[in-house]
Amino acid sequence: MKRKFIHNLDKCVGCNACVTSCKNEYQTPATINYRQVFPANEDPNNPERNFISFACSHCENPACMTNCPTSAYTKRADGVVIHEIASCIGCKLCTVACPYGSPTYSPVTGKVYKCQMCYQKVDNKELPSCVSGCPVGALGMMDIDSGLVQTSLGEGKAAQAVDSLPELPSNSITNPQHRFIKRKPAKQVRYDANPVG
Amino acid sequence: MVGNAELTLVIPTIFLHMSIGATFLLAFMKLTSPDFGVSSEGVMVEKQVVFFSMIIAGLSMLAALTHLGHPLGAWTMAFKNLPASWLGWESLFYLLFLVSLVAYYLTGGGALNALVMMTTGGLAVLTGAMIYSNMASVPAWAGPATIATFVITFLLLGAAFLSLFLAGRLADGGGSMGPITQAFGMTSKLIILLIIGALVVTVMGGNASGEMFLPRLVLGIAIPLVIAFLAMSAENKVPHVIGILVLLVVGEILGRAMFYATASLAPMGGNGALY
Repeated sequence: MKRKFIHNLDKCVGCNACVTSCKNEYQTPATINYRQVFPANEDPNNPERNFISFACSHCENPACMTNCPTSAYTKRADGVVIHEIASCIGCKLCTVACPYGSPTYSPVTGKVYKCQMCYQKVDNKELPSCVSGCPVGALGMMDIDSGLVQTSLGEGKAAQAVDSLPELPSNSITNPQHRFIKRKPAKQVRYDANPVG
Repeated sequence: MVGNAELTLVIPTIFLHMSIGATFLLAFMKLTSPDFGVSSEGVMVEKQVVFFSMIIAGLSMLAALTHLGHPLGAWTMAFKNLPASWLGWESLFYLLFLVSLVAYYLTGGGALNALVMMTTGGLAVLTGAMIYSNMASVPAWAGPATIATFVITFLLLGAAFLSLFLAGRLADGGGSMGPITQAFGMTSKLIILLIIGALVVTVMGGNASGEMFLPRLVLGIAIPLVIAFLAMSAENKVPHVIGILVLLVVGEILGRAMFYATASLAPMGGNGALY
């Protein structure tokens, strides 16, 4: 079974609970966030805040893995790219090679850190911390084969998921395995067009 | 790494490239000019260049380890991903280059040793360049300009370093010293050509911006070029060569620091940039 993260921009409110859940799970240092939430490109025709929650794309052709001189990265059968801290010499090549900036270097420990989709929890039939920590079910774990999406609010199929967003680098670089559900355009009500009274 | 000048990596690498370049050109002269290798002056220059290059290369390789988060054990772990990692190959070729330098110094150096020294040194530079030229995530690095930059750096600094010892022999020997004069003529022309090459690659490679560009242009390109032309008519060329070498080293350090500091990852678009 191959897994990937799927993020529903239509549901996401940018609360950063996913970031906090992950941080709480791994007790990462202040400067290290496996997951980040950032505002997406605002549409002038749809002036609402959009947020993208981003961790590691667990790419099919992970640049981190191909550039690592010590084979600290491995790709599991389920697609999760794992980083073995013990093999890391802190050369920082992966931090540059990754188009998404997922691996982060800590000058304190001299090692690189990265999201690993909580593979130990997933192997125990649990959800990654970020997914289970999302209060609105915007973040999910998707089974590529069946299309089933598991979120904190239940399971279902993903409707109209896309594999890229304008804010992100070209997929041709590493063939990332993230998916997104784009935000539906909001209906804008103009009271001055139809004055009341 | 991106956005950071990475001086703990840049400075040792520049000195390492200088020692590779000097021994590369020395080996080239030895293999292509039989007179150089057998003349007493040529042998003396050879010993001096190899000795100092060996010291500089050894110290630089140790110093370069300090840019790693965990330098201890890095050498033993660096070759685990050789089929895919250019960094692994670079580390291997640097090690082989140093071994060939030591062997050259201890054995007096033959043609085969010279060839090994040239090949391992040249490959160390090339594989180092490949690390960055293959990095699609950094548009400023991806492409042949990066390889050209690295090649120019090692040959330029190598020629300047080698010239120092050649100029020293010319100053001591006085008059015409056949192979030494010929070798010095070659390195002088190479220096001028490569300084111009460095300017072209810097501008065409998109590195003609940022606060480091003007100091690099003045210290690393313009002034050395002027001194090189002045050296042509000077009797004692040693002060000129020293000046050129120091300025070129400073210029190349600035250039390489600029290479790291001014590159940015592939654009994200809109105001949703990740960085």
